[in-house]
Amino acid sequence: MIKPIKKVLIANRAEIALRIMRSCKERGISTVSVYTQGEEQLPHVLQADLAVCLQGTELSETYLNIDQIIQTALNHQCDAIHPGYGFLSENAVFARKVKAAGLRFIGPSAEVIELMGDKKRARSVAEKAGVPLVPGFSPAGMPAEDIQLKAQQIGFPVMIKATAGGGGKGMRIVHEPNQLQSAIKQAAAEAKSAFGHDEVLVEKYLVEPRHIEVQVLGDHHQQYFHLFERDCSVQRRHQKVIEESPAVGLNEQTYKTLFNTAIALCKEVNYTNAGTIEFIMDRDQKVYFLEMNTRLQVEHPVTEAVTGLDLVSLQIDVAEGMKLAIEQHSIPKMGHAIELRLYAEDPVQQFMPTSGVLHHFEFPKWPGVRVDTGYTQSLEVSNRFDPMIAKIIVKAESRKACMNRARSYLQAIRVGGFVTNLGLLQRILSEEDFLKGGVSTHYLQEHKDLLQWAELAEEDALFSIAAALFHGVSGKSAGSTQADNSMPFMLPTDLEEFRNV
Amino acid sequence: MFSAFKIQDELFEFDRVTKSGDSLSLIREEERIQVHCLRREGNKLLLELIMPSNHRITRWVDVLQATRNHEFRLLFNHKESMVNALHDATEAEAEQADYRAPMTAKVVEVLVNGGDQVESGQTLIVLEAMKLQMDIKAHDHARVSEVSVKVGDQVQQGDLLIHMEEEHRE
Repeated sequence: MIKPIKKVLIANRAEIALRIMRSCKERGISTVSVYTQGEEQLPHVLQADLAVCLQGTELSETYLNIDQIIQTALNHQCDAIHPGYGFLSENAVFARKVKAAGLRFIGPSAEVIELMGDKKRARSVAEKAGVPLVPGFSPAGMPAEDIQLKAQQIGFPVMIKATAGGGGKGMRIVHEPNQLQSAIKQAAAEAKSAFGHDEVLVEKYLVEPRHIEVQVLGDHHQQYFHLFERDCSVQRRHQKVIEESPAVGLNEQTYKTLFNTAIALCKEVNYTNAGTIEFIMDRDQKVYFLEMNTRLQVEHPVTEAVTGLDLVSLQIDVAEGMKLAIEQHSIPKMGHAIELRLYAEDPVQQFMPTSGVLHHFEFPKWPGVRVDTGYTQSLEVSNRFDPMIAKIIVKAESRKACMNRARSYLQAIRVGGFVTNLGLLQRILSEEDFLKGGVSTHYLQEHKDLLQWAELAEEDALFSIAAALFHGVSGKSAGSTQADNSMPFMLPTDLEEFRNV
Repeated sequence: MFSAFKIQDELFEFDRVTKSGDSLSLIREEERIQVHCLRREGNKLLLELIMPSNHRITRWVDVLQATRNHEFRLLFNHKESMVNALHDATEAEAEQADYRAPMTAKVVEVLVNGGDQVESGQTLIVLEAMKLQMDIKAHDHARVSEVSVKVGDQVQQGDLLIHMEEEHRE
């Protein structure tokens, strides 16, 4: 039965809150957004039909406070909650409590969130669905010689990782068989202190791996779709910096494995709503299951750019109980798209977080370019939150044209006030290996020159000195113009032209 | 007017620097380098450089950040640079003795005290921001004159952390 949603509470902030709000507005759905003290001037507060200030200071008291968020939704007669990404988006307890409160959760079921959030269970259900797994085993309770033997069968190097958590904690790469035992012990100890569980897995370590993921979508009528792949191999500290679609150079067999197994996994778990199945791919284009993200991804606009679909709107369709009126074979795949994440961090100083006032923050409107941001000029970016300040999505008919357009666009934007990774993004878009395509997740570690100060010729030094003297120390220059704050982003539904470029 | 500039670790000194409106003269060994600021668009400056040979080049430079300590982060042609504007070379010496916070962060460890002799590369202070830690290391063999922060302090970018005794520097 179709139950239209009339009012949505968006349990998130900044760009993703605005992104969700935009699709809600298109559908005539009222929006309630939440914020914390000090965020009153953010666009996600200004543009919602109603914005509610969450009580408390710590994240655990505000954006991560399940009870307060659900109560806020109930107080304001919402009938659904969209969690966005991060925060409570993959919290099964939250999804369950939202449902128990009589609200709809715009996302998959609590059971699927729970299942996919547990790496071990996720692995076994993926295996059952026929998704290839990275060869590996759990060394718990195994005699030392068996561990050694099994590791030899997989072949060195192997990786040891914690079953709980992520972010690189409890992870070890072992190249030599004689270092295996001590590495397992160390990883287990690290996992124990970081996550409270000391369980680890030993897995095949892939050389030159690429991160390839498949966007999926399921409805409550047992229909499952894939919306093609994204290549998210350019990462720092296991976090994505650049994503693109299509992935460069995949062969037919690889596509078949990716898409068929992604759909098979959705069927196996009866997946509803938008999700992403992440794969790791080795040099021979063998793909292995990494994990499933049971939510909307940061990089979903890349898929929107190549398919012309509005993923948030489709999520709402599913949550309303609609049977999605799309057919797999007629989903378009047009041109090439890339997403560049602008982060408040210093690429030449180990990516240390930066913060401050965005004295300059201007993004000209260009055909084929979409900018999703939760900030406007003169706002302060604090390091209480995620360092991502904008996503720049560029689309063109070919990869080459896409990269050229993106490179030019990065020269045209104005971002000033504190250091960001803009220079790094510019350098990547001019770097030979990246332009060739198909780089591995080790790209940034292997291209250290991108993370360094420039070698300065004399005229470079003189330009630098002159710029410092002309700019002065105020941070604001006289010619600064106020940005157009009315529409800080463009969205897919605007983008007939975005599609047709 | 500033007349000495540290870019990354290199020092550039001029005999005289004068600025009038959008024109700048950098005079060094009787030679004059002229720079004109042709346009300002937000944090972007279009600069024309006229070398003593009369060779002229024009380029946009982005000013990413300007701090109260006269540190400038610049971006041009994909390249990043950091300029520290100083009044003269003596100030450059003095600046060397100051260790400042490279970003807004919390002090999680203070590993030295006033009077300590430190070696180049030794970790002095550990800062933390966004759950990431950064070591502040000694860039010289020196003696600590004063530690200006304690564990738990919240520091802003550019705040003084440690001052070294200048006469003990080598």
